[in-house]
Amino acid sequence: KQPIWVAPSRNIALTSVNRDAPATTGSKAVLPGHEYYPGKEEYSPVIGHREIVGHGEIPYYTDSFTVPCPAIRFREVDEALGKLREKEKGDWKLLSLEDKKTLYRASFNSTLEEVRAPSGDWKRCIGDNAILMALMFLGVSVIGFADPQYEPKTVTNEWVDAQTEYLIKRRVQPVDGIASWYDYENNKFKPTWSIFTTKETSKSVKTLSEKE
Amino acid sequence: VSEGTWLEKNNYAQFDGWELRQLINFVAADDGVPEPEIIIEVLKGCRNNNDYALATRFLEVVRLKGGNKMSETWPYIMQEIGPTMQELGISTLKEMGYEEPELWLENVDDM
Repeated sequence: KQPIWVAPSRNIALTSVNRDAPATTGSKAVLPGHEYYPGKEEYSPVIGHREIVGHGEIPYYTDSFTVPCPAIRFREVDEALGKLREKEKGDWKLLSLEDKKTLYRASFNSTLEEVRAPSGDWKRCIGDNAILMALMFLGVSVIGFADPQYEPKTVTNEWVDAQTEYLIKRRVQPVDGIASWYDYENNKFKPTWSIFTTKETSKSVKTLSEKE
Repeated sequence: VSEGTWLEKNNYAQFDGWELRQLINFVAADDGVPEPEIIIEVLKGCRNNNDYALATRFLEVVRLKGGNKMSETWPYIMQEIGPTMQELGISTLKEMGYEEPELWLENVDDM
């Protein structure tokens, strides 16, 4: 028994690949809009009352550019759809735009342009990460800076004062650094040193300048 | 599409609905835009099977097969198949509004 059509083969191959011929089934209209396929009742718990329209041992519906025509329609059959199908058998110029759109959405869930459209998921990813980072910074600022247990000793004013005293005595960084901000003739800090002082540290600076 | 990949004597217009869908899936897998002669036969096959949705889906596939050169191939094809579409009563994708996405559907991976 010869098949009705052969899968298209390319001239490049040495032998033409004849894929298995699909079984031809005539569509018996049981009800307007219904297409009958032997074994339809077996799949009804899986797909419901949707029509089987193509090949596939386990029919399922997908929207993709690589398989644009899946094996089943998307929507189930209603009375209104049945009437539309009878109208479809006539002249297509009598169909209105709404009829055409309902027919399309009955067979397919989305258009191929909608498949290509971006989902905007990157906003959710960045937003969730921003929230988590904010919580992290909050925790560090509240817990890390409140408890003196977590404060290192090099941050206290006593340590810093002793450190500056040592650096100035050793004349470290005389060009661009700390020794350049100290006036050795008058034993005072130059006015630019005030940039690095706060209300708390300014007391230690005054004591240093008063000492020497 | 070159001549060697598709049969010269084709009777796509007498195909069943099942075989038409198989054909369209092959067109989507093939590396190239189909020729207007094949498109016309497939549209006539859709008319004989009384399936309007399949015709619009096929036209969407043909349009997107152009890829980055959609702006060059699609007007040419519309030029060639315009008369048959008017005969059969198929409205163009622009009239349907399917050249741009119409509805926003939630992605299955994000649910």
